[in-house]
Amino acid sequence: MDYFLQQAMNAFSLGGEYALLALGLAIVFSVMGLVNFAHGELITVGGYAMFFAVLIFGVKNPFLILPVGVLAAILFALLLERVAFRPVRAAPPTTGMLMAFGVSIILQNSALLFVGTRPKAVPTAEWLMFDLNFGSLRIPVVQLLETGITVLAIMLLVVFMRRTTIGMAMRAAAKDFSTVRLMGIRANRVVSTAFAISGLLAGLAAVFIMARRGAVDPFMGFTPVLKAFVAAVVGGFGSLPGAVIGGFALGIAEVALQAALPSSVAGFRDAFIFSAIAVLLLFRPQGILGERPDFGEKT
Amino acid sequence: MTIKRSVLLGSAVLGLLIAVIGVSAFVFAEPYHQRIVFTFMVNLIIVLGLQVFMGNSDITHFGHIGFMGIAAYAVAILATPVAIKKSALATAPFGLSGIEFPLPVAILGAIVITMVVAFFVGLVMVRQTGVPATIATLAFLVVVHVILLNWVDLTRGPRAFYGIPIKASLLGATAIAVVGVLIARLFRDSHWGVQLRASSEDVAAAAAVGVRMQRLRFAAWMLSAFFLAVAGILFALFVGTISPKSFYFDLTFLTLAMLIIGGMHSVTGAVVGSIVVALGLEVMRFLENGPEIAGVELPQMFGLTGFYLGAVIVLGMAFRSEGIVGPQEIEEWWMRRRQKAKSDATSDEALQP
Amino acid sequence: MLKASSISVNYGPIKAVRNVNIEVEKGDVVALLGPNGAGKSSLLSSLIGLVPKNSGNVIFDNQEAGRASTEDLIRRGMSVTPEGRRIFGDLTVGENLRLGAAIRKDNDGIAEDIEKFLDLFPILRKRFNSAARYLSGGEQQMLAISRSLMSRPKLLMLDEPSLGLAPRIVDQIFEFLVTLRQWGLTLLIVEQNASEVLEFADRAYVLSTGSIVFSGTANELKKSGGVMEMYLGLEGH
Repeated sequence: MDYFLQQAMNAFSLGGEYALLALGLAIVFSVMGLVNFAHGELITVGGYAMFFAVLIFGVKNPFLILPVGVLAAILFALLLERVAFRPVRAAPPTTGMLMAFGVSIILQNSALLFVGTRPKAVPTAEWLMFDLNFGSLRIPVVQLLETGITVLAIMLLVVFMRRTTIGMAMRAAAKDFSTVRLMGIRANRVVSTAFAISGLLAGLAAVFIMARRGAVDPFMGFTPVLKAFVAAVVGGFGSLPGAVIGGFALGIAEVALQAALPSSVAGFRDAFIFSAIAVLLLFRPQGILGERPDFGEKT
Repeated sequence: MTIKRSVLLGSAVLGLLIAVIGVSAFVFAEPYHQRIVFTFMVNLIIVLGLQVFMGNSDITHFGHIGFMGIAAYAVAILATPVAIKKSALATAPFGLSGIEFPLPVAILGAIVITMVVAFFVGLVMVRQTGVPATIATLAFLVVVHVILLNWVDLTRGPRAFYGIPIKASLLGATAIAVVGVLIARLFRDSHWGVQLRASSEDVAAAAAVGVRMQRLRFAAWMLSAFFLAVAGILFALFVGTISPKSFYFDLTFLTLAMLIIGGMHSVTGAVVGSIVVALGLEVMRFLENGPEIAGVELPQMFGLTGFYLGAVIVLGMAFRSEGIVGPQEIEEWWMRRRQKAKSDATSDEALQP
Repeated sequence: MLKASSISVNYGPIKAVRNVNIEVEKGDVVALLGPNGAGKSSLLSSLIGLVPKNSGNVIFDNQEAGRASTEDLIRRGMSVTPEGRRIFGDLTVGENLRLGAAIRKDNDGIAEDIEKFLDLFPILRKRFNSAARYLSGGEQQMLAISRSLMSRPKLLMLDEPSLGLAPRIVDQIFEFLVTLRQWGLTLLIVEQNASEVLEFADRAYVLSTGSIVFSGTANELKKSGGVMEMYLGLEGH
């Protein structure tokens, strides 16, 4: 029972991480139709920002370091939108996707070029390294926080999307951007807000990834975003609840399979998961919650 | 199937270009540079295979290198001498460590195995388009990679698989690349290719007219896998040593970049893109190692090659999203210029609105 | 209120709007009529800035519109009820109305206006919290017009308000438009359905293949048999 609960915690915290990332991707896609391959770099930027905060500014207080990471991710997302994606906003979706792809390669290699190839350590606050004891359960504080913050972030996002004008505008823009403009709402604001939110979510995820890894390197965003993509598509690409479900599903599947598979085939875990995903996508391409686009509708 | 003369002409021009590159390298270059040109030929074949699928069906394909990896390992396992396999692959299943096939059989076997995998994957793959299809191809790449990495008995896992007979030659690769250009062109301009391209632009209209898109996509998928299998076999038989990391995202991004930058909708684009990117890459590699230029020692700049790749993609998408060459093949360019010259010479009163 | 001179809109080689002059006085109801494909919607889109003009200029509320963006023009007091209604299907009726008021900040005034429209259209009150896509065509049109009024515009342009609606509903819609006129709103109505609009319009323009073929009062138009027949398929008086 304890083992089960322990693994459940693992699953939820990992799933939460994937959910945050998948949600960021889904928001940008639903508002702009952009498949943002550069999303992983937001994590890397968050990580490097934290590293530099410690290194250059000698910040020691973790309550300062963490917001730095999140803030850096948000600002960088806005920068990316303004510089790289606004010029191709009117272009077909493939162009935008490939542009994002190119941007991510540039960013990864810029980190290589300008910061260095070696991973840089970012010390995590000691208090985060504790395990909490609930009877016979030992749960790392980080996991609890991760799960908790993910849930909180998602709830706040829901409130934001329902109650604020710009949030409603984003929901409307997912299906009909030009009519949103007819409400007098500036297109740029809607897009920037979407990017800022995706930056926020990526920054939060970055904090937790950093807490686990303890170091930042130029390619750290790659695997998480790969999984996030897959999670978002499984949940229904463009669907926000779908992204959350997809993220948690992937996290649960990974942990469950890792625990269930005999050690001789444990290495094949990702092969099983990805095969299942491929099959799911090919028979239900709209994912779990997505909608099949009718011809003539914006996909 | 009637073959237009212009298609043959266009293929000939491209083929000539490739042949010149290959032959001059063979005749004049040092072994080190010959290796580089060989790698170029292999990459070109990959890009051609990618073009056959992506350029005609408009689906971004991330899984092509998976087929390359399958073929490379297949030929490696089948052709490597027993003497080596006995120690390197002692625990191989199906008794493979004790058999060794003659090269032609091994090559054929590798192609067949890859095509069989392509067949079954393709059956489901062609049902979809757009983002789900692309992610599915990505999943395929990951699955192949994980299997290569973890089926240690068969592939030696992450450790290098060595001892593959080195039988591929620069001239051979060049010849195959030239033939590859011809095949890619013929497919593109065959009625399958034309139908596929036209219907990819407007899926609803195509369905209304009865075009069987899935069948067409399947044909493109299989042909593309064939190219990638050939590339994988060539690669294995040249380098003699392979490992799973050669067949993962780095090569995927490189070859995708080559195609995108040249122009994914034309074979000319595939060729031009490969050349441009390869040239640039060599320059970058040279600079990356911190060479001495005119007495000045440049610092080592690791990551320059990658940076170059990304920069070219970004600039390409920002300024020429159809690629350097665009969707027209080389002979179409030439014929259009002839047309323009003709109509400039005559009056154009017919064009008044 | 609105003065558009020498407007041309080209889509590549296709000249959709050729050198058109339109004037809308404050408080007037102006009809913009013409057969399908005449360029009416293109003209409207260019007036609101969704489509770029190849030539011509627009003066709105005594101010040059210049290259003002759609969003700026809306903030200056233009509003459009688009062709095909274009309500936000996934959002509720209430959310649609609130988005209509996006440029306003007076929450009390917004709530008041919403109440006003819910009084006028009880069905909207009934469906206030359900997704707008479940409304019928006529109900969606009432929502669309209400939504475009939420910004308290000075000029409301409607693009084919009767399109695809049953005759009884069309009557209801036009009754509502007459009410709007009583509120002192300035209206520019693009329509294929000429007869209804001409009943309460002050002035009318008829557009055919991009050019104005008639410009005058609604009465004059009703009397001019030739134009009525040729371009509008109606009999003149």
